[in-house]
Amino acid sequence: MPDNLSLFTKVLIYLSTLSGLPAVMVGRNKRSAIWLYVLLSFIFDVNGTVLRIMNIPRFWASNLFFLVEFLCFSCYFIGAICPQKYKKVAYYLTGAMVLYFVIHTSMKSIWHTNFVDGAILYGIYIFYCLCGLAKVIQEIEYVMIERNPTFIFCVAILLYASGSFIILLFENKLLYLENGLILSLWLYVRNPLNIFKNLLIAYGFILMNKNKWVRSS
Amino acid sequence: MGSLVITAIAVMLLLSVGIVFFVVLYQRRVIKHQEDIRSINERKQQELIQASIRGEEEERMRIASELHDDVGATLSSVRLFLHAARRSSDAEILDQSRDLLDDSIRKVRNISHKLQPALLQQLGLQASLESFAAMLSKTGNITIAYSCPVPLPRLNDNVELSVYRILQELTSNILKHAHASSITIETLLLPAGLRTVIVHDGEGLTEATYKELTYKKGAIGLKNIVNRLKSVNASISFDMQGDAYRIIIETPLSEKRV
Repeated sequence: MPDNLSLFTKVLIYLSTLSGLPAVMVGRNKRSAIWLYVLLSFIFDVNGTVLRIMNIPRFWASNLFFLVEFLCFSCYFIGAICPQKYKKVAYYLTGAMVLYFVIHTSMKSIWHTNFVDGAILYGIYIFYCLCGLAKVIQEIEYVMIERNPTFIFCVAILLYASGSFIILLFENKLLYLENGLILSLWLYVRNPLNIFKNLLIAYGFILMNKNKWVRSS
Repeated sequence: MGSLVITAIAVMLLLSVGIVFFVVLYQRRVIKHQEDIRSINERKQQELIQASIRGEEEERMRIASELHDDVGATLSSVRLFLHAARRSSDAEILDQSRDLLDDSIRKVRNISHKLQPALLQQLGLQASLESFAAMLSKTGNITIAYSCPVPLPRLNDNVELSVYRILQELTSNILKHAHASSITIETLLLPAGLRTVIVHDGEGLTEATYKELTYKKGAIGLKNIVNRLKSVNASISFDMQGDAYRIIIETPLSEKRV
């Protein structure tokens, strides 16, 4: 990790790295796609931070993370919000998107992060979340919406994807024009959003556990 | 470029937060709306049940008072006459007693008829309505005409009784409140079911007034009509035909005819 980073920034990075841990712990009995995402996200975050400390290039991992993230989110949202008759089509589309991402990234370079395609994937997450919120409104399962785990997951992913979408979209341009700005955006926008997302997902898992207890009692 | 990106991020985040707030507020509004509808329905249901119970109680009280004040008094007189006749063996007293007993029998029969019209059970809705219209016309206060272009077959017992009671209640209301001089009742058997039309020249109810009254406290008669309509899945509508008021009752006949 570069020495010129302030203590606040370093704390922020470590917090962001470890923020997935509560969600991994709380949701470990769920074994759902969203829990798998949190687990893999935590592993990738730790890996990224370790590589950063050791000053080893880590951009190759971002492509893999994009892929894993897309698969996990797609599985979760298709399962949670997609009508039964469209599920097959949705899985085919997901497969096609994965194929496109792999081929497109391989054609460019797997050692460099494919930011533009990453931005497209984040755009898809925003679409997933909007569909999820629409479903929450349509099927009112909880009198208090903040008790609905699907709503919490949608809010977490929507805010995280909205902030990250623009950063990824302009990453290539800013990398050459304003390198300092892009670093700041990753540190002070994406890291807080990552912490926020992970904590909200942990809260969602807590709600899922609570709802399970209420049902079983 | 940098400021543009920062602005874009801020806009995206604000939009997302806005969407989340919209979802929260929208859901609360929908739930409140649903709760309002549920509470209105519950209140209305409660009022209908109350009206039904009250109507039943009033009917019981009416029958009790008729039995006590009318039949009871007549039978007491018979008892006195018979007591006197035992002493004097007067033929005139025995005749009077017999007349009083006949009177009592007629009164009991009338009460029984009001409770469950025998004509309706034996001959059906058409004959009962003809008799009902003729009986009311005999009073001379109002002209009541009943027409049935196509003879009605026997319908389900519940349908016949409900339509008859609804017409009784509506006619009674017209006589009490509408100051009408003539009433026309018509029953039509359509493919969709039985249509009963009442036309009168008094001051009638509009659809809005009817709904308002059924939601208000009191108006037990109208609430009983609502209960009867519900029991046979029928609907009621009010409109005007020139200067005359028209009430239409549509009763589906999906149930097996008897």
